[in-house]
Amino acid sequence: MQEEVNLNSGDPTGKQQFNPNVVRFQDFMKKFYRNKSALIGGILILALIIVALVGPYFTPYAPNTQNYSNLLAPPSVEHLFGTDHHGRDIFSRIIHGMSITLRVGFTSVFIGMTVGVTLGVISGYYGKWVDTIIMRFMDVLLAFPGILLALAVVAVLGGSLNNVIISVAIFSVPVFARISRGSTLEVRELEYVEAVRSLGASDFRIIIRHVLPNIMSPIIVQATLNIATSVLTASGLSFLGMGAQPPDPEWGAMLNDGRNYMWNAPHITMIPGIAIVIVVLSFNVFGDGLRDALDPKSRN
Amino acid sequence: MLTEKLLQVENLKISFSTGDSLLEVVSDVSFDIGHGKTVGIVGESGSGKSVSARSIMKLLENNAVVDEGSRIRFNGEELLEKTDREMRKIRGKDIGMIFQDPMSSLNPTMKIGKQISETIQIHEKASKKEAAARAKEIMHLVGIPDVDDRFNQYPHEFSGGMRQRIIIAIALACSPKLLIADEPTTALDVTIQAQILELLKDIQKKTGTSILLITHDFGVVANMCEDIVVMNKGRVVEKGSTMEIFNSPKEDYTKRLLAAIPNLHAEKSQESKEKLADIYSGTREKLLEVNTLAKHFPLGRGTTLKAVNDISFDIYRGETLGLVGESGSGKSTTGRTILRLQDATSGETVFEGSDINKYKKRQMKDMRKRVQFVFQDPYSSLNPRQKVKDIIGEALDIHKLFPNKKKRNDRVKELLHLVGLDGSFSERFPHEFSGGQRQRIGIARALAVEPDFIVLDEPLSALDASVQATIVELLEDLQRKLNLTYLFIAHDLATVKKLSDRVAVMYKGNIVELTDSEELFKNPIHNYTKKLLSAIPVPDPNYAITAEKVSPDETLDFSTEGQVFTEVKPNHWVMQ
Amino acid sequence: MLKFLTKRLIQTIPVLIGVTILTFSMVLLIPGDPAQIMAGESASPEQLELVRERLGLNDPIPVQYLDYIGGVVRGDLGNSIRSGRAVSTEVFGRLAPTVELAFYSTLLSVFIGIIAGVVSAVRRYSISDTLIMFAALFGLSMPNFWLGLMLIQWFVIGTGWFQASGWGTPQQMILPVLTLGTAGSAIIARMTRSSMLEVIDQDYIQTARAKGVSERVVIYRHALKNAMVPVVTVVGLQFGSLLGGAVLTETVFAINGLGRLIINAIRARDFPIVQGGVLVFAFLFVFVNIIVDVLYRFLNKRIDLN
Repeated sequence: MQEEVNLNSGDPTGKQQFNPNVVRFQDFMKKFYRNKSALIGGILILALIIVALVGPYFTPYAPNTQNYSNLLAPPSVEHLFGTDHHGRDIFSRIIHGMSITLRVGFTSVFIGMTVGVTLGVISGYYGKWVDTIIMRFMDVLLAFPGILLALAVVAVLGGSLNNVIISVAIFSVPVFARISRGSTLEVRELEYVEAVRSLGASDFRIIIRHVLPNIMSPIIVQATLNIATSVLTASGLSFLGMGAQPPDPEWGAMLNDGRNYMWNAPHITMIPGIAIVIVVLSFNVFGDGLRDALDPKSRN
Repeated sequence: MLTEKLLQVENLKISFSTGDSLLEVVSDVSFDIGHGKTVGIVGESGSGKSVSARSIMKLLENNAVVDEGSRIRFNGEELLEKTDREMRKIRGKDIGMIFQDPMSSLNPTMKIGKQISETIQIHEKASKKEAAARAKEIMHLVGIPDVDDRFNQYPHEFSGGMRQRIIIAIALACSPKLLIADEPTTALDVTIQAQILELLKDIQKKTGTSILLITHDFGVVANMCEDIVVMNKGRVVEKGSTMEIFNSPKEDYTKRLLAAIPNLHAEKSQESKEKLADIYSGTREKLLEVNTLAKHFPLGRGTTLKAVNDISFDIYRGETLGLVGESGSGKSTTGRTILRLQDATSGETVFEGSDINKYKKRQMKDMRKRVQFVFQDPYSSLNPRQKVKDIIGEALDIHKLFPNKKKRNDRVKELLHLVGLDGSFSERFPHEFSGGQRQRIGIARALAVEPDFIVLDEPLSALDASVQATIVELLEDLQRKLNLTYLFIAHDLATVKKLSDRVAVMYKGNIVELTDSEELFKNPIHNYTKKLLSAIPVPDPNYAITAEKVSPDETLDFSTEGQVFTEVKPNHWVMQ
Repeated sequence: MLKFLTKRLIQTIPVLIGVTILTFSMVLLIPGDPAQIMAGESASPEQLELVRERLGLNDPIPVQYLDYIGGVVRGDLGNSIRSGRAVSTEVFGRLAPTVELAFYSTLLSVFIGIIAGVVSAVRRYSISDTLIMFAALFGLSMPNFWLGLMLIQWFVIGTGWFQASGWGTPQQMILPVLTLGTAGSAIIARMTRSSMLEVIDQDYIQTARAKGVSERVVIYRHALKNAMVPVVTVVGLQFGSLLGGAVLTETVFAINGLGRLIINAIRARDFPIVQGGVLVFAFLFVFVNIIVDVLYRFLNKRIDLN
């Protein structure tokens, strides 16, 4: 036994490949700390969540309080981001809008991920006709380019924030289904899954205990990046007037409001856009960092 | 000025910087190569042999640091002092390099003719036409047929062996003085390996180039090299002429490596002879009977791949049946199909009187306690997210053998002891173990349900030679203690011989020969078996590879069409 | 090649059928009585019945679907509720600006994306790499409708160089193309970079270096071509997502394209137009994908696709 350890045994063929989905937790944490973008992204997201939860108690004005004596005011000490066409304080509206944006992002991705991963794992694990049917259905959903699928859903269900969440969730189902199907196909072929099967384990046990834990990394990365996309899509729908309804301080809707005053009050359109960029950027930075940290190729 | 030696490496010291610290991977390595000579660097994984070779070309990773005291003199010039621009004039021209994996070492989007002639164009200022003509000559030299047609083909249109010939052609394009071959045959089947080694010798004879051969295989160096450098953990353990190293090794490490090589000429043990006598006299219980088992895979467009083509054999309690074949022979598929990890296309697998292919889910689950599987790859066969106790204990959970957690974990520790590991390992994760230790964990997992029969699917092929020997011992020991029956699947005859009582040779989905292992080595009858035997690089410098020159298109076709499996001698079955 | 094309076309049939089922069920899934919604709140029972009759809403659903798909095959997508004109006329009349917008934006993003990606990969970890990758991340994180508005703010309201409505002249086209092409450039630049870096790690690059090839040749002759393989697929997908993105861009720049038609139809509850517009979008995307596949196959016919 001792010999073996000393001889630094491994494989002479160089076939010693690690499954890309599998990264040790300690390594991951080490890289995570070393990986600045993940760290910065993580801190930013944490800060955004705190603002969303606590911020509304500290805003100088209520989000929907109108003040017709101070319309379209530019940023000042009194109104940090100025006021809009109803004289509402934009700073307060942005802070109140934060929770809407994050809620839409998190819930829609959570729903889309749950449905998509379930379908994808079933599809990849069982293969054959189950796979064909599920993936064809995903192909159909993917045939609607970009925001159009979400738009079609909202067109049917009617414009409201909840419908935006549903439509964005549907829009992200195929992405998760594809990724988890691909990873499942990969993991399914690994010998440890076969080993457990040869021990007599049921499919359910194999999927829950052996497949799912080992495909989570790419899914988590995708979820993070998808929150960014979902926030963009949702604000796009609201911008088109198909999402949040007035007077909700939703940023896309605020942007739309400002369009008519671009000549004399450009800050109304500028500021909600910057807010969206900050949120989306945070999730993208975090997702990129996670991807690097979870990618075994960039280990060490 | 003609220096005495072509290449002189002195005090080579290489470290890798890993963020904040330096890790020394090669220390004080010195060796030299004479003109027209072949030197082999032998070592197990992690010995620093490849890094040493690459440093000669100055093709190391960016984080590699070569110590200032190191010297690499090539043809009278100091390579380590050369700039990258100067080095480029030497790479490909004076020193050619052959890499391990023929599947990934060629540019997939460039025609192979272009890939060969590119080198000539760079170094010899040749016109496109001249370079092409020269490339074709070299393709001819390395044994690529139909040169004019194949010149314009892309790498994916070639087999592994052919691709390795192309890589050799690239390395040879400018008639280099030195050829560095880094594990050139490790990724190839043994019959193809014999061809490539033969080719390298032939080229050396024709061009007078020197060869530096990096390998883990003593069989390969014994047949190829005049001198050997044995490396371990970044240091040279021993060096000398091939005869010296093989006949009178001085260092313990070398001795141990040489001892670990399976001996093809060893007599079988008394125990094995008794087993065979029982089997042949019909007194030993038949545990498993495989009847015209077939497994076909659809390839689309109505064609099927007959991975396993109506094979039949019996396995007797307590014996080890070796199943040998090269890649694509269907040996692994056979193992999987017998245990119903895949469903058979047709045929029977009769285990103690009933066909397991007809079992319902319930029966199959019970069956899983009786038959087990040990896998090839010690890395991917253990779930990296489970602790050792759960990996081994999972079988106990599935079959609800130990409802009490404490008792279950005690049993896991027992199993760890059984395979020669410490009971305290049960709390650790797979990545904390070496390849050999992982393979032991895999064996413990298979033993957990106390099976009668275990399929061992190439359990040694991913391990270093010295580790292989310890695992073989363990398997023999367990068989004796627990009266286990093995189906031992392997691609090389040497290891099979050591462990098996009887051996079946598989070729393209058929068993072409089946007999006891001694008889098979002494009197091979089927042409394919003969080929396989002669291709084994014998780790003994007194034997040369006896592989007759094979036609370079690699058509080793032994058609089994219309043939039947017949007993040509008592207990010696051959497809004919 | 023809065989491949035929096979690819046959493969899309189930997808196209699926798409028609979805667009067909859009009308079914509208909460409430579709006839009521289309005819308006104040419609009399007779008018409602008329709408129902005209839309075939009284037939069983499978019959309605067959009617619908029959119409699709004949190119009859029904009539607009508001204008009364054929949906196909309305939709195809608006198609050109949308396709042009998506096409020019794709072209722009391929051009910028590939150059930026290659520069970034070749000068890995340099300042230019950091800047390019940060710009790409930023481009990816901007809502394109907001970028459009900002461009209008600066170049229409600010400098007056460009126009903020219509489609046809360079003054009208440059800003929308820039708006839509930004995110695409970012995606392609990131993709190109990572693909290049992956290829540079391959064994065959080592082989090339061992030949004594200069680093320049290694990168441009050996690496770039292989790195472009996955990028081609992304470009195809990109075109599709830019088609979708055109919906927002057209709204911002008041371009009378298909996207804006659909948005206005949704607002006006003119469902036949929405249905027809979405269907045409999806069909267009499916066929763009086929073209990309064929192109990919053609460009890389030497690569074993397995």
